[in-house]
Amino acid sequence: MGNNNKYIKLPLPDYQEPKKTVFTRAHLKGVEKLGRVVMPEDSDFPAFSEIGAEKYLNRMVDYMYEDDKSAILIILKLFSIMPQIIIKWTMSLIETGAKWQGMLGAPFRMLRIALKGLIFTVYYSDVTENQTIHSKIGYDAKIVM
Amino acid sequence: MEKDKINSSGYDVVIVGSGCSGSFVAWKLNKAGLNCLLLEAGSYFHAESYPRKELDSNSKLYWGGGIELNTEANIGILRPKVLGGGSIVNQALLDRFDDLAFDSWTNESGIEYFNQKDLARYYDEVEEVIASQEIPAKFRNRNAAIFEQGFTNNGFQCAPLVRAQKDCKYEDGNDCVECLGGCRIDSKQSMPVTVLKDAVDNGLKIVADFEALNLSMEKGRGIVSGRFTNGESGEFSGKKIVLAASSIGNARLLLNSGFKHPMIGRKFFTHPQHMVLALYEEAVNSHKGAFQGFKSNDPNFRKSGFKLENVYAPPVAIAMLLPGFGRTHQEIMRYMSHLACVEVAVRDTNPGRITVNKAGRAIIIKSLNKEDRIRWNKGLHAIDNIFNSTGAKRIIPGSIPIGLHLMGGCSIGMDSNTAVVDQDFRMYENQDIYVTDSSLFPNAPGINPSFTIMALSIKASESIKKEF
Ligand SMILES: Cc1cc2nc3c(=O)[nH]c(=O)nc-3n(C[C@H](O)[C@H](O)[C@H](O)COP(=O)(O)OP(=O)(O)OC[C@H]3O[C@@H](n4cnc5c(N)ncnc54)[C@H](O)[C@@H]3O)c2cc1C
Repeated sequence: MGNNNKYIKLPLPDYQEPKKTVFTRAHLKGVEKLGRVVMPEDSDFPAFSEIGAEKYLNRMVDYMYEDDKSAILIILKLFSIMPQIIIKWTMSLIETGAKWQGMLGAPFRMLRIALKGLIFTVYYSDVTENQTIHSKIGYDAKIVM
Repeated sequence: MEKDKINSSGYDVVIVGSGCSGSFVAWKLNKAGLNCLLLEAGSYFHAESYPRKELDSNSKLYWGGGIELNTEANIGILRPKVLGGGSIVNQALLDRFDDLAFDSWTNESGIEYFNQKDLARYYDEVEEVIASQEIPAKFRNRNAAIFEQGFTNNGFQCAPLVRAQKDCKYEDGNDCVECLGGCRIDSKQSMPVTVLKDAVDNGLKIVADFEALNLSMEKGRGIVSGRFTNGESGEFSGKKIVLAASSIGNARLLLNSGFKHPMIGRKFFTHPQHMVLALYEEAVNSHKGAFQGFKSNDPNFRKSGFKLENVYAPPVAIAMLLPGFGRTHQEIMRYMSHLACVEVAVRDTNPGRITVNKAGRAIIIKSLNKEDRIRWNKGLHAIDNIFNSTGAKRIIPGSIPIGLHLMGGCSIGMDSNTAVVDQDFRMYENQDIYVTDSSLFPNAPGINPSFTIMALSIKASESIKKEF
């Protein structure tokens, strides 16, 4: 047993795609604005808006539980009509509230994971064609095939 | 889809969940000549198809799109969903349990075979099929060196880690942090490249992309019904059912199926792990080479109920651990290559509970009690000492602890009032249903669990075999 062959493959079909989530223009605008707050442009980092997140969101959101997905979509819709400064303020409030112990802080921690998770996951996965983010942060892990 | 080619009934044993336990049970029973079917909610990936981007690994290899939370949202639960379960995404560290762990299991369960001597032959059998290796000193990275130096500086004891791996070709420049999304060179000893490969060659049937949603027993036949990823429903049946869907998966399936034992979902433990980062003047490159190297091996730590390991994670995970957003976040993230990381894992004493909501989704109630917090703080204090004594400029505790050793929920024991499963791994409530995975743990051992899960699964297979 083990890896005597080149690669071991079982006689099974490869993975199944889940159902596609449909993002409206409002959802995408909400992501864009949140992205500008969470990952603003900087001398080292390309702005979130430069990576064209809308192309990659399905690869994340499609796999969420239905109720989590619905909640995120509602928040993104809200963000689409909120001024940027209010989104920034909301994120600061979430960071503060997330430090509260027990159930009091729970909604803030959930929001923190969901909102930062949405932006960081797409951003730091270095999904774009020009793939610059990993090199900016000195991350060059590899497997030589 | 595979279901078209596979019979839905007539099996001796239907196994739900293909992680460390389900795969070992399937392999053993198949070898013993039983007609087995292995069901898995996740998809099948292999060396050439594992997702390459962290975004896709999180989505495609875990439940809930990457992370689930307890009700207080202060523990991030990582629950694998892929053929091979945790063996695909885990760090593959192998540890036998010590006397402390087994004695506390015997105390809790009343079961006498929980001791190193009686279980040695099962561990040995696992070692015959799962290659393991001490992380080679030459390929340990600077993060490991900081850990070792910090231990020496503080008079703590540490030991090299042993990992289920073979021929990782570090000399070619491979970085094992990549295999947290599945090993692309088949070196990590995951289930599909070891026991499952063998069992499939010997006739084991596997259905992936099928989530078991209901379990019923009718006229000596177990019926598992559920849904394929494409939305179609399906049903499979066999004489015996083995539940190996891990703590949350088993409890959820049993509760949604109307099983009534009051201890189902109770006594749930996670070894909450807190990753602590530290910023150094020079690059640490914690992601390079064999990204883990050492564990604590200090009797005082063990007595105090925590362990430390040097560890690391890819960028999305590290970003999620950092505090703040915007500039505050970027200030640290731009120096990601200068970060070292040590984690403390607490041997948690406060049992949590898994239940289900009206929609059938698992609800995870789990908090830390005073004792757990004391253990945690002792561990964090030791980490501070390690980093401070090795010249860290700044110490950054991760923003959320992680639970990835999911244990209990169908605990084993001699007393049918306090345990769900008897010493032969059969459910008290229905003797044709077996539980063989980490959900049977009676408490948190404070040691990496996968080796023991595999060993106990072999033992459980012997009990099941006796029924035929
Ligand atoms: C990132 C990570 C690192 C880890 N590192 C280590 C380590 O270094 N050493 C160690 O000892 N342990 C480690 N662990 C823990 C270890 O992997 C687990 O304890 C082990 O895999 C548990 O085995 P199991 O068979 O009980 O469950 P799992 O391996 O989790 O398998 C359960 C399977 O059941 C499937 N399932 C669940 N519900 C259903 C359903 N309704 N229908 C069909 N299928 C279902 C799941 O999709 C899953 O594939 C780690 C875990 C993670 C996540």
